[in-house]
This record gives sequence, structure tokens and C-alpha cells, in this order.
Amino acid sequence: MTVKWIGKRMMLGILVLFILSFLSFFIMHASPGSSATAYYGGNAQMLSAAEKERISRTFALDRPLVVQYGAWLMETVQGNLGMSAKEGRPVSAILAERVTNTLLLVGVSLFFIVTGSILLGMEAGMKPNSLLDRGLSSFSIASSSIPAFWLGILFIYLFSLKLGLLPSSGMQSIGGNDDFFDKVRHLIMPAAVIVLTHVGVYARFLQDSVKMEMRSYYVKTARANGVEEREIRSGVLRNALIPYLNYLGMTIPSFFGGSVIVETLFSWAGLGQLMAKSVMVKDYPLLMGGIMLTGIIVVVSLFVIDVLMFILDPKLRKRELGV
Amino acid sequence: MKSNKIFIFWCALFGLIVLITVFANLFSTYPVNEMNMDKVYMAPGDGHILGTDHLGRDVFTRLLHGGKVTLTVAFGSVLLSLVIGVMYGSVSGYVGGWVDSAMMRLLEALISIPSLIFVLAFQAVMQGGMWGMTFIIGVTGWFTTARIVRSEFIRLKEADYVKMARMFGTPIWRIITGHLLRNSVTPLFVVTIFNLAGAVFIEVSLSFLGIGIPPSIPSWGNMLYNAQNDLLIGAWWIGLFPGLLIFFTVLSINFIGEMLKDSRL
Amino acid sequence: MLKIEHVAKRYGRGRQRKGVLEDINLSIGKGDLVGLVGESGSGKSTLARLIMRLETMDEGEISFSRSGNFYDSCQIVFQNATAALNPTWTVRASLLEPLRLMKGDREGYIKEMLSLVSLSDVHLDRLPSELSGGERQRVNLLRSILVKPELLICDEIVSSLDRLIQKEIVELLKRLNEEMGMAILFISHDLKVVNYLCDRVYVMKDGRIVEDSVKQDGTFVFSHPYAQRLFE
Repeated sequence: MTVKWIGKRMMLGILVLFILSFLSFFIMHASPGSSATAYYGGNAQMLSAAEKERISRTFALDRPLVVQYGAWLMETVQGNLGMSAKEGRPVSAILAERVTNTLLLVGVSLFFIVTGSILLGMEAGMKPNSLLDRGLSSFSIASSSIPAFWLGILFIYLFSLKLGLLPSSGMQSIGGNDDFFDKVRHLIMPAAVIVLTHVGVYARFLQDSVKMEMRSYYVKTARANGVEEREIRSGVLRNALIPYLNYLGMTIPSFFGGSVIVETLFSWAGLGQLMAKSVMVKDYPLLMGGIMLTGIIVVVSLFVIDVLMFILDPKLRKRELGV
Repeated sequence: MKSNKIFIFWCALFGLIVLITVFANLFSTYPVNEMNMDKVYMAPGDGHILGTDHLGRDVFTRLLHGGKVTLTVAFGSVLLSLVIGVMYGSVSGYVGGWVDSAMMRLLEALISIPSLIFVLAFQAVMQGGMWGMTFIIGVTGWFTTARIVRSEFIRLKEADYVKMARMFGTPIWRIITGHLLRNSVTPLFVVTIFNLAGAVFIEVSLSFLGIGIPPSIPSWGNMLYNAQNDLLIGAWWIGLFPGLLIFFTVLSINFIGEMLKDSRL
Repeated sequence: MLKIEHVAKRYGRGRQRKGVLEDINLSIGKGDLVGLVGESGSGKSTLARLIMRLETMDEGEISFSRSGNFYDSCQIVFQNATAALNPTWTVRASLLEPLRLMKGDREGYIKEMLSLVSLSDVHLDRLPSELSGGERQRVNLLRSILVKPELLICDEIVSSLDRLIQKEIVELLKRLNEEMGMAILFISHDLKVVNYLCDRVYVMKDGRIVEDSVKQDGTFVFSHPYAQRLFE
């Protein structure tokens, strides 16, 4: 049974990557010029006739579209993502420089969103009619109604321009050499923007499931039997985390979309900023590479959440393992 | 009924925003694109109640006209999403069986892909004007709608009145529109409201990045395109007012959606 | 007119497969008033769904002699009138639904038929939620007889109504039977009503028909202990 479940989840991942590969191929095909120009961008004119011939053969340019797609996919799977049209370097090299920055930004933001929303959501759910309980839903709606980039602009105005506390953009100060604390200072504002616009929504989701758990029979019995409050809390949290994780899994892709905007605003040299820039300057191979890599990251993070759910949810485990 | 009054308040606020942008021409104090190089970066006050931008254009006037563009894109794309989502969800939910599971697998995969990725991909190859943007947001925003239609259909098609309709020989399209869709209106409306908020977000975010609506057309997102630089020289009003208006628009939409959702449960 | 022979229906798969109906034999002639009684879960509603071709059977045969479209000759009224009427449609819209192909004055025909179930024109523009439970069931019933079927299956249609309305509907069924010659299969666990309405009755238990009996001198006589206990 577990095999079946894993298989089903892997199918999803493969399908996601397939759709993204179609999308990439569509970009390449719809872009002006042939695949070769898409792969070698501005340098296409400088290619010799022999090289053009070789590219045409590799990408099966004289064959039907399906064959072309297959040829391109073969190249992509082997890691040949082509050359950046504007920078003249291999796409894979550029992506490798960028990916850790995005993972850092999204990872740190997610960490604070998850811990923050669990603390807030538990507190609000366990204490009905407290200020937090009543205020959380309004806060959640309000905070998710602020465009992230606009909040970012306000932050830059306040913290960089007026107070001079934090750097307004980039990943390190000019002339700075990979100083850890310098990087942290640059990370604070972009991460804070992502956290503030998301934490309320997740906290509210957890609050709702905590409240549902609190109304359930087992909590009432446990209370009546004098079970310690601390134990009740951990039991409630454990159960409420299952739908919470499910929700997180459903919404995690949007973080990688959202990072496009925040990264660009703060000039954070991640994948998102790279993709936005490549759309602007029409650097197709770079955009295609960015899309595929983002897809892989999303698939991996979905898988991690699946594993967490599997560990947490006794029902799922039971059904799949037959214990 | 306290919550009723609050609901009316948010509806009124949203209605007001829609009205002043629809009738932008009546309220605007200057021609939209009139530049005045003698009056660049004027602070709010005399003659320009919300100041002027880097080309000396009246911020208030552009705010009204920009809203018209942003809201048109939002409404148009949501309508398109609604149509696509209803068609996809109807087929999946009504036909059922392996067709349904195949379509649902595909949908699950599509939902797992950040929607901004789709938008960027389309934008890269067909950067068009306002309608291009509407199209792009529309064709990438129907996933949740489809899922809701599908689950409603699966629930409703077992209803006795649908069984009766089949026995009466009511044609399928009539069963779908008259029985199934007609009874899914409330959840469909709620999801569409939230889609509307999402569409506003995508337009303003992309235009802010400079890959949305062409800069020649005023939209709330475009007005913010230069806001970051303007802010650095102290012209806070250029960024503040469009942002506030976006905030209150999305806020009112979200509150309306939330309250409709709760009243149904 | 309706003949059911050795019908069986099973649900589930593999070892968990469970028989819901076994070796069902039943027949209804033109203009018959037939009852089908049994406790809930005995398989009555499943049988009704099989007759209406809403489900397929695993064994046996059901034949129905008719002229023209099956659903024009055989109709069913479901137990739950609230679920059987589209909540967003007015009574008029619901009543027009089976008459989609009818030529002539459909509106007039409906108005004429309304009086049959003691409803009037004012009810036409109402939504199901604006009707009482009894009114809803009468609309539901009327909709099924608009096509003038030869056989009408009534699946527990009076069970959730109070006695007064029950009586009204039962009288109506009797009248339909007499005036239009409509055969009725009346499914119920309410023996009093069956006793009053039907001329013939089948008794079901655990998916089997354990006995059938014809009314003589106003009562049914049974030999099977279960049927005897039921009709005590």
C-alpha cells in the first residue's frame, strides 16, 4: 500500500515537471527565431555553418514538433540548458549561483511563518474570546490584502530612508566580503515582508482547526478526567497540525511565485529576480531554466510535506501500511 | 445585526471604488496623460490634491483612470477564469470515472505550479496590452474554480431531483445549467470573489515589476513602477495613494468574500 | 405489465460482497394496486431503483411491456420531497420539466392537474422552501403523474408526513388508480396504509420476498411467521 501511495505522489511530481517542460518548450517555440537562437541567443549570428548544422541535428529542427520536443527534453534532462542570451554563460551555471539565495529567503521566511503561525494559532485557538482570538481573523484578512511589494516599499522608506537601520536592497554592502551578519541584515526586510503578509493566514487556519479539536469529545473527556493541560495542548496541536500541513502543501507553490516580486524589489539575487529579469530582456533559455528549476524545488518541497504528514497522521499511516 | 452592517460597509466601499473609477472622466481634474514639466514632483496641495509625478502628471487623475484599467483587467480575467473553470469542472464532475480522475490529476499538478510562473511564461512570448494581460491572468486563474465546480457537481448529481430529471429525459446541458450549476452559485460566487482579489494582485505586481501592462497605459501597478525611485527623493505621495487604494480594494473584496463564505456555513 | 424474475443484486467486491436482493419474483398487471412491505434495510428501495433502471442488476430479468418511452410509462416518486425538488426552481419550472416535449398548452394542462392534488395557481410561483411538507410531496407526486404513466412507484412517500396529509395523499392515489387506471407499486413500512390502499402485497425480509398475499374480505392472510408477526 505504501508503494501505491508513494507512486501516486511521485506521479504528481512527474506530471508537474512534464507540464513545466511543455511550458518551457512552448516558450522556446513561440519565441522569435529558431530553437538554436533560443539556445544561443544573441550569439546565433556568430555561429559557423557547421555549428548551426550540428544544433539543427541535436534539436531535430527539421522534424515534427513532437520529435523536437523529445530532442529538447533529452538535452534538458542531461543538464544542457543552453546558453543565456544576454550573459553568454551556460544557464546551468547561472542557476546554480542563484538557487541557494532563493532557498535561503524562502526557507527563512517559511521557518518564521510556520513557527509564528503555530504560536499565534494555538494561543488564539486555546483561549476563546481572548483579544488574540477575536483579532486574528481581521489581522489575517488585512495582512493578506497588502501587496507585498508595496509593504516592501513602505519598509524601505521607513527603515532605510528615514531611520537608516537596514540596507534597502542587494545581498551585501558594497565592498563587503561575504560577511554573515551583513547578509542577515540584508535578509531581514525581504523576509519580513513575506512573513508579515502570510503569517496571519496560516495562524488563522490553525486557529480554526484548534478550535474544532477543542470542541471534540476526547478533549472534553480528557479535561473531565483531570488530564494535565500541557498534555491536552500537545494532543490538540498534533491533531490540528494535520490539516495545517495539508494546507501548507497546497499553498507552498505560491511562495516561489511570490518570491519573484519580493526578490525583484529588494534586488535579492535569487531565481525569482532572475526570471523576472529574463522576461524583461527576453532571455528565453534563462527563463526556461528558471521555470524548470523552480518546478523541481516545488516538487521536492511537496514531497517533504507529504513525508511530514505521513509521520504525523496515524490514520494515513494505518491506511497505507495496514498496521 | 452587527455583522450585516459591516457587510454593507465593505460592499459600499467596494462599490464606491468601482464607481469613481468607472466614471473617472467625471471626477478627474486633469487630462490623464497631460504632462507639465514645470510642475514635477509637486506635493499634495494647491491644484493637485494628491500631488504630481515625475512627469508632472496629476496623481489623483491617474489614480482614477488607473483603477479603471486595473479593475477591468481583474473583472475580465475573473470572468474568463469562471468560464474555463466551470467548463473543466463540469466535464470532470459530470462525466466521472476515469475521465474525472485523469482530469483531477492534471488539475492537481496545475495547482502545484506557482501561478506566477505561468503568467511569466505567457508574458515572455506575448507581452500585449491590457487585454493580453486580462487573457493571461484569466487562463491561469481557473484552477480553484474548476475544483469547486467539480466537487459541487459530484455532490449534486446524486440528488433526487437530478435523478428525476434524467428520467424525464431532460437534456444534459439543461441538467448541468439548470440543476447543477444553478445550485452551485453560492460557492462559485465566493471563489470568484477571492479570484478577483488575486487578479488585482497579479496585475499590480507584474506592472510594478515592469512586465505587466505597458507603461503607456495608466494602471495602479504602473503608477507604482517608479514609486521606489520617487520615494528615494522624498516624493512619498506617488507610492502611498495607489498602494492605499489597492489595499482598500482588495481588503473590501476579501471581507465580502469571507463574510459570504461564513454565512453559507 | 411488469414482470420481475429471479432478480439478484449484490454490492461490494471480493469476500466483502454482500447480497442485497436475492431471487426476487414479482409481477404487476395493468391497474393493479400492489404493496411492498418490509423493515428498513430489507431491500425495498434497491428494488425500486432496479425497476426504474437507475441501477443494474446482477442476475435475473425485469420486463416491462409498454408503448413508447420507458420513463413515460413508468414513473417513481421519491420519499424525500425536499430532495426531489430543485430548491432554486419554482413549482412551475419543476412541473414543466417532464412536459418538455409536450405540444399544446402546457401551462393550462398543469393548472388543470393542480386541482387534482388540491393545489392552486398561487403555488406555481413559489419555491419548494415556501411550501409545507405536505404541499411539497403533492408537487413531487404531481410531477411524476403529469406524463400519465401506466405504473407509478411510490417509495415511502407518506412516511414523513403527518396522518392527515398521509390520508389525503393515499386517497389521491386511490383516485388516480380508479380514474386513470394507473397501476401503483406502493412501497412502505406502514402496514396500516398498505392494508387500506392495496389489493395485493409482497412481504420482504433481508433481501428476499418471503410471502405474497391477495386481499380477501378486506384483509390479508399470511402463512409465513415473519409476515404474520408483521401484520399482527
